[in-house]
Amino acid sequence: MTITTSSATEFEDKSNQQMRLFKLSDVHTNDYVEARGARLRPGAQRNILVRDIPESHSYCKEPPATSSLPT
Amino acid sequence: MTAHTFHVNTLTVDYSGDHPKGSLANGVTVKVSGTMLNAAGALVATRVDVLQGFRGDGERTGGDRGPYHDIHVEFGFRNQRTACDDGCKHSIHARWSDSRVNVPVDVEGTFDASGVLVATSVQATPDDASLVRGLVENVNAASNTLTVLA
Repeated sequence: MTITTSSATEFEDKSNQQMRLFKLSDVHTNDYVEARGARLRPGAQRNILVRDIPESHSYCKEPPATSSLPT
Repeated sequence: MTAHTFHVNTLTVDYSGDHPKGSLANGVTVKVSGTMLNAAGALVATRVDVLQGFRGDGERTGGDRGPYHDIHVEFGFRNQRTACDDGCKHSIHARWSDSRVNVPVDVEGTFDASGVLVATSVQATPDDASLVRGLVENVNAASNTLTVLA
């Protein structure tokens, strides 16, 4: 999943490094992150990006882009 | 099933349904995830992580964050008010008022002498928000994007 950040994105480092001035350039391959925010097309505009303690599982929650009732 | 519990200050955590990731011991810092309380008022943990390199029994360092006082509890209570509601600092309380009943929240902070969790961060995750957790596959600073394996 592609995540787009912007000047409005809040970066937070909850990993063991605990960087105070954390930014996108501090994020590296195989870091474990959590992104939260509203969805925009294309990709996803995220409001908060948190680097976290690594976990073994991945998780994705997206609201449905469209919905329809069964007929 | 044998009940397994531990305490984070005044909060009782029932981790009978999850094997903690790491060794539980007095003074270690844990991250607890759960969404409900049991009949005894304990937080029913769906996941318990012992945070390596953090200890909660050291002398407080002051400041806003640090390895010696950063007790991290993450939870979303259903139909419950949290200690944070009354214990948050004013600036956080303003943000807290934006959240709604039944909206899961992530709360970070420290417990004061009376056992109230004084939040340094409260983040609501509304049901209509997107959330992704996973390993970073690629970072493209030029386009301000990253790809997450999810």
